Amino acid sequence: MAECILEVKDLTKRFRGRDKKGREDTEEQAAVDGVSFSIEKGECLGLIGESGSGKSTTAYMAAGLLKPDRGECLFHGRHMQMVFQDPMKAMNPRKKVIDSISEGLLYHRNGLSRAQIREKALEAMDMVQIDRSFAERYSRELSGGECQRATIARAILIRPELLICDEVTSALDVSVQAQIIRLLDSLKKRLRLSYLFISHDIALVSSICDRVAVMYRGKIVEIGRTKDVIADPQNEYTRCLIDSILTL
Amino acid sequence: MLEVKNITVAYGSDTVVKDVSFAVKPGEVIGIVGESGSGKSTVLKSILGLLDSRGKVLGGEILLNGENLLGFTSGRMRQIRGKEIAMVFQHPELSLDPVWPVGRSFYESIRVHREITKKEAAVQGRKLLEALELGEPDKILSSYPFELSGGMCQRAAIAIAMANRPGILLADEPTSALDVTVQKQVIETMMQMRKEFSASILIVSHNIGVIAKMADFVGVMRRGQMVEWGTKEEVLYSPEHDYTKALIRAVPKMGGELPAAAEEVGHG
Repeated sequence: MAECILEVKDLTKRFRGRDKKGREDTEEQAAVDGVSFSIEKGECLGLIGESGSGKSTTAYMAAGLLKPDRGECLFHGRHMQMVFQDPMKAMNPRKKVIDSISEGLLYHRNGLSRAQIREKALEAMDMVQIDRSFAERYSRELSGGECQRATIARAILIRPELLICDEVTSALDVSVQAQIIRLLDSLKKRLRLSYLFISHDIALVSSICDRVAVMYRGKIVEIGRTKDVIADPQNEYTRCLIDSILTL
Repeated sequence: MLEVKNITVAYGSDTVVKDVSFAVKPGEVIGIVGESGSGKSTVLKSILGLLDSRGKVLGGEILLNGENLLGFTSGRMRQIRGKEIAMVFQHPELSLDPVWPVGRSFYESIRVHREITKKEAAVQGRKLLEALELGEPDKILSSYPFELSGGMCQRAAIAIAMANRPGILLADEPTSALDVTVQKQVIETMMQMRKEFSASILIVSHNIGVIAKMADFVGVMRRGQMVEWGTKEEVLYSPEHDYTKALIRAVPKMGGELPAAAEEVGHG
């Protein structure tokens, strides 16, 4: 078996809901319920499911942004980074683009001077194909697609082994979405990145992911090679999801 | 029955719709696709006279059964809206009054156009929901929007829009806020309503899959202009315009290939 970059074992998170009058429920709901999977080095694992299925909660726990109630995440790398759905909200509106992109290296400096960090940030901008002239602009001056490229540049700056992408194209137009997907795919090969790629769009997932896990009500109901899952889904919910796809 | 002729719309000095024309004939489903900022929603708002205070139709005509809607007073437009032309929006929970149960919304939207008692409205509402096979119509009528799921809410909103039996239903991204499994149900609801009332539908969406599923005729908008128009088969399966081609190539398809990112579409 190939080397794993991330192993998730029996991950569980419960939340307390609220009733109609806004009082806390006495009973807890499991948002994520015993989820296990692993991602190999250089692999892209898709996590699909409808809203409320627990995809994002799983991502937050994998990224260490949320403490699981049970289970563990084992990360066999040095850095992981996350890219979010809404690039405008993910960028600090009061910072210049270059300063936002550089931020990672200011924390993980490795003895680099400010000028060297800036040069590395500009190189990252080249890699995601945004013009260097955008460096001194603010995020609000960028289009959604450009802004998402900038957040990807920020994410790859410290050369993470794993990128967690949470619905990174959902807020974008379809033509821009295609560009971002192609960019992520080329970065995967170039930097030997692994991805946890979260999306509700199974057609999109089928284009970039090696394997796919289908989540429904907090559980993984099916996991396998993308081609196999699409060609011959074993689970009823997966079948329903595939049947609902509207494409050309 | 509805004819949009060479309309040009601007917000302040920004022209967002340029010389757009198309016609909606009885019983047809017209789909308009386009990316954000292409002007597709503005076209719908212009038809209903719902442009905000900065928006202005600078030229052209919008003819409903031969009469130009642009010349109508706001009072006259109120009689048209909901009665002749109804609309559903992207976020059903925002378009329904949050402090009214669904049944009250039914009653109010009928009462605007004709005398009706609450009891009669409830009977009609129940009939419509039963026709849609939504299950437990009485429970839906007595529920507040927040108590319903997004998909249920949208289907109730569609039923309310059809309560006055309008000839045309306008829909602005009616499925974009919903999960794919629910999306399919909402599309089915709209198609069922069209059959039941032999209404026309004008739907605007960025989702080409939704348009492909529903529409008879398709228009493609880009930067305020209608760059291509024709039957669904012509536009989606043998497109002529480069932008349409690029747009269709960019749609992710099941089965593994990366969607094509044509430079022609331009950077977002």
